[in-house]
Amino acid sequence: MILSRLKIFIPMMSPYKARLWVLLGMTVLLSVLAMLPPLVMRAMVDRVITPGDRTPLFMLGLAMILLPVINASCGYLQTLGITYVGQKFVFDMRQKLYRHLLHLSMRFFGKTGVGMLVNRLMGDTGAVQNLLTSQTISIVSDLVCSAFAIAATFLINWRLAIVIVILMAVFVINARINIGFLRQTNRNYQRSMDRLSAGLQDRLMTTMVVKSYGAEAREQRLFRAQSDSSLKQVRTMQVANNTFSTNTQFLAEAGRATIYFTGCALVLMDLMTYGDVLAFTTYSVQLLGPAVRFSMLAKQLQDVGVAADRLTDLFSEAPEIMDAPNAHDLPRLTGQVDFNHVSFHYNANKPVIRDFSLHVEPGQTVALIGPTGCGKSTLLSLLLRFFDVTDGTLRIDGHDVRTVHLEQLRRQFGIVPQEPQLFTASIADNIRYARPAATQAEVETAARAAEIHDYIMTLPNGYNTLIGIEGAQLSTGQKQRITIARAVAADPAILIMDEATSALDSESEYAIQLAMERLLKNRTAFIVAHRLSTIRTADLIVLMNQGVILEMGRHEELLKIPGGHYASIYAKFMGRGTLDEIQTILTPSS
Amino acid sequence: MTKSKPFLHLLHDAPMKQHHRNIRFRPPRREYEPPAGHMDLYFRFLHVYVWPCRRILLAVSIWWVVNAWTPLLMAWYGKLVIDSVLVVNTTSEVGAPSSAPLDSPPHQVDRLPEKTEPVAGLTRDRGPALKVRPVGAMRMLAWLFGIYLITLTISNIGSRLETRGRIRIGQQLTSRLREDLHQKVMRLSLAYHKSHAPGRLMARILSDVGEVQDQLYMTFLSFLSGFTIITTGLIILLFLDWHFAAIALLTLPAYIIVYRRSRRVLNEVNAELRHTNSWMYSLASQKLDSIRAIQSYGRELHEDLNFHRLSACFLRDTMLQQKAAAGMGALCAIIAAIGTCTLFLYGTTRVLAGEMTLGTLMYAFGVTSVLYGPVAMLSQLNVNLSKLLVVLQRLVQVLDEKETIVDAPDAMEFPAPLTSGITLLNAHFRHEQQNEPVLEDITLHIPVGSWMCIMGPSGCGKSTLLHLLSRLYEPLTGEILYDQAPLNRIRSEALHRHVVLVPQEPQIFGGTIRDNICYGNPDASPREIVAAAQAAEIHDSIMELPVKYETLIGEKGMTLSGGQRQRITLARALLTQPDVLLLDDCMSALDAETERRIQATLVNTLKGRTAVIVSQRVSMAMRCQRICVVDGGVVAETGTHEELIKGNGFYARLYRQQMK
Repeated sequence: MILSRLKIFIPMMSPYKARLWVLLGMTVLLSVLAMLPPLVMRAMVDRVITPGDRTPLFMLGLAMILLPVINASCGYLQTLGITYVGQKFVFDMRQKLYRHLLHLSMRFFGKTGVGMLVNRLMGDTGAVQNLLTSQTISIVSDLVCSAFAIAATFLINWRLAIVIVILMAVFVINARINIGFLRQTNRNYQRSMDRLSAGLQDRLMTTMVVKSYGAEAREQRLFRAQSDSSLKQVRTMQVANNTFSTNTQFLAEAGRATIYFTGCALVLMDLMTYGDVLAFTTYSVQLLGPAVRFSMLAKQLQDVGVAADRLTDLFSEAPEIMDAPNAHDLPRLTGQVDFNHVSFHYNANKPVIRDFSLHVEPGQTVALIGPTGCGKSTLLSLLLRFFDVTDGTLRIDGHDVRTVHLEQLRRQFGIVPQEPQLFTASIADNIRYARPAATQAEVETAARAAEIHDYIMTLPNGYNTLIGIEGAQLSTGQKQRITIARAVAADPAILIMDEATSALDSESEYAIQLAMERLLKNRTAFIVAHRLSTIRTADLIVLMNQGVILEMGRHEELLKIPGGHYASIYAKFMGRGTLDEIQTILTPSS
Repeated sequence: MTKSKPFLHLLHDAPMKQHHRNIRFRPPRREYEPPAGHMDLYFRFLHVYVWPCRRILLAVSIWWVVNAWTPLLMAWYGKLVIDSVLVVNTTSEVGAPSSAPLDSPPHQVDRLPEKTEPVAGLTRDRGPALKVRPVGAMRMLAWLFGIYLITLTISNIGSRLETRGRIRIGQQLTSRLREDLHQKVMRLSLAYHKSHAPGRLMARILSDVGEVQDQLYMTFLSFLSGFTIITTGLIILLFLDWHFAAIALLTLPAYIIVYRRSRRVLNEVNAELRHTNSWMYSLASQKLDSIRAIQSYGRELHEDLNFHRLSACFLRDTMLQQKAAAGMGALCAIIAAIGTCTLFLYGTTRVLAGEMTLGTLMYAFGVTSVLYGPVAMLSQLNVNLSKLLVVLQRLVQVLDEKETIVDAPDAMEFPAPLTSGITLLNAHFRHEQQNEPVLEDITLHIPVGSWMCIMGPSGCGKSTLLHLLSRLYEPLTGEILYDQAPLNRIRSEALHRHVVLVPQEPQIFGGTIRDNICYGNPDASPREIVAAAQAAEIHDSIMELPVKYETLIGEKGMTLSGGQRQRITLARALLTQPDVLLLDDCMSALDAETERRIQATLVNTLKGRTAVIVSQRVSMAMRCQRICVVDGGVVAETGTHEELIKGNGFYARLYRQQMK
């Protein structure tokens, strides 16, 4: 059962196999060592003190002092060994998982939340590791200890040993009865905490609304109610935990006392010696822990099994887009792009791109226009091979994108997405993210082109200003400009801009456009935009609707088509400057 | 090479922690102020949050002291059993029974003078023991067992009650502290929220409080109990035999030294570990969140390396931590073992010499074993305390943060209905960390009942201007008047009932669509809600959803497009029927047709109301009575559409560009 669920992790353990065996051996030795002191104590009382015989005193005294010393030293080594193997293992596993995640496709990230992935990466790996290393060791140790203790007690006095066994049974039953309830209250508590923190986070993210409606007092009442209900759960949990732990403690203490006093009674009946009683009492305490741990084992394994399953699921998620086995190298592109009867769909019954053919010469600027959802962004994703075409071929410089190295392909693009993604790092590092080798001068040139240089220079630390949380606050427009600078600094063969300037006013957009034209001369560019000024200057305008090309050509050519869609759109929106309402024109017609 | 350094190296202005370990790669960390000498902080929290529960705390403390004696008492019962019931004692003839130092039981006189033949080796030597046993030993044993169980039961019941008491204190404390923090956070200005990540604030309110709740009084309690055990234990040892006390006193310092040394290292490493761990979390979530950028620039290998470095740093620190912790554990165990064993061996020779009973020896042995626990606890106490102080400091940073925007004591009502309008007089505003002012000198009058459109290049402070009007920020100098009432003299609750801001980035709460629209006016009737939604052109899309207005949105609910979010926030604002509506480019994500329809509805619904509208679009500006262009922190142009297009300013250029 559990082993089969841990299947994929076993091979990951193999580099540590030898170490693990050594550790196991050491554990057995240590467990036996740990069980000896009570025997020494017994001998001390029975052989030295009671008969008044000094001869074994020296040897026993030596053993008494040396045993803990040896035990502690070996224990030290063992802990280090376990930590090393365990941590190294979790380190490997995390790295492997992270690498795996980095290569998964966009489709996967579309349906999976990042928070969940992070929890898998940080939490579940730890849980599995813990089971495979320290848990295993502690199980072995428990087994050895209890076997030894039970054997020793039966050898010393079987009557009292039976009492110990009964005591263990009571102890285990108590734990098992209570643990279900405890887990339940614990879960309730977790849930109420989740609710509380979710509500709190929600409010903290939207403080502006809370403030601008003057709703602070209302929020305070709400928080109090939530906090109180969560505290109620905490209380139930704490009380339950407390009841359980005091009960357990009472059982253990009372059991120990029973053993001790029964032992003493047996001494009075001359069935035992006092030294035996001492050894017994110690063993009884040492047996209770492992007994409970064993009775909990199934539940713990269940928990780990869940974590293991989740990790297995993640690991078995195959990256959709991978290098072909015989992928060849890609030289620096000139930027010739050829869509040849390309079709694409996410679900078979909902085509997004249908029989799309387009030929782009190096250095051309292509403007994609069309209503929302017409497949513009999907087309750009195909170009970067975030998805593979379902039909037809897509060639860049004559290479089918499926036959070349993915990384080499993507590195030749400069992409400015609709939503700017910046990292917690300095502005300079954000700009040179695509090409870390870019010099400071190149970074500044890129920033100038994106019209952000002057703003950066007003910041106290200039290009070294940290952005992101705790760093400088940037407006959406500023963020867009930094991503534009990043694309410029990438020195791409093909530039992709997906509504990259939507948050900018038209004046700065125009300035950026000029600068980029100068810098990225002779590079192929794909632009999704809605401002006419941008569209008009393109070498090729592609008007799309519902995944197909309606019209395509230069601005002047398209205007000449009698009764053409573009011409009518242009006539209608010339006065507005943007093509925002293209949707309303095209939808009824198709 | 320096250029391709991973991003974690970049907190340039933060003083880096100097590490004695030479690890090349390490996430930056701001050094905490050494919290030493901040005991007043501790007392302040004790006073505010623990003092109200002082009765329970007193009862709990008394119990802790009493309970500290229980293990010592238990050890004494053991002694009674050995000495008075079983009379297990050495059979060596040395030493007269009368020389036994303490508690020499009367039964001992019965002891046979002659030595029993010691059978070599294992044989049990029951002969003498049998003869010295007191009459009714079994009954006494039963009695002792009874007493032992009673003691146990009392201790158990006491502990149970005591924990309940402690839970109560903890609950009251947490509840109060959390609420205070939440209230404070809600009161703090928008500027504060902009510069503090919600995650951090949440950590303060939830986890920091959680950490404090027990620590605040537990430090005190553990000190009490540790102190009691140690003093009582040492006194007992001293009475039993001063040599015992001497042995314990000799090993204790060694124990303390080892403990404190490694504790220092451990605390340092632990702090480092926690820090690295949180960096790993944030790195992973940030990177996975921007996976598109990573993949599109083909930077997977680089990111892999980034994670690897951090992960390796974590691994190394974990090893260090374990080394320190396990080393400390081993050393402490060895010292404790040497201490107790020496004591036992010494005691054995005394017993063999007949100068001490076995019971006394076992008693001393038991007491010594109990001693080492509290010693570790006590020497950890100051570390715990300083850790606690760090957390308290973090809390106090929030609790004592100056509230920049507060109602004046003599705050007045909002002068509704407005008669003259809104006036800005030389308003000047600058963000705290920045040198350049956002708004330098704004003087502007917005007549009541008119629409004013604010335009200007991006980053010129348009949004800031609206924030000033709704008092989310306060101007550094200058004045804002609603009619004749200065803004900072108006009760903020009243202000926000009459002046409503629709922000640029729509903010949606977790909840239903209805909850979201009703936020500003929870008592609105369904008819009003529908009317507001219709005005914001969102009603039809809502009606297409399966459960219509009850659809869950926000974090866990349905995802909305930017345009839908903007329309919901607009509906939210319209529902409150404000006197003054501040629209901050809140239709940027809408297509022009929808925007045009909304504009048309707004003209009707907002007839006679004042509106200040930030927009990038000339089509919007043309609907406004007045247009104001802000550039370089001052009002660059102001006037009607017709007036402005005659000139050659920003607006005229924009007009020509957009109408080209």
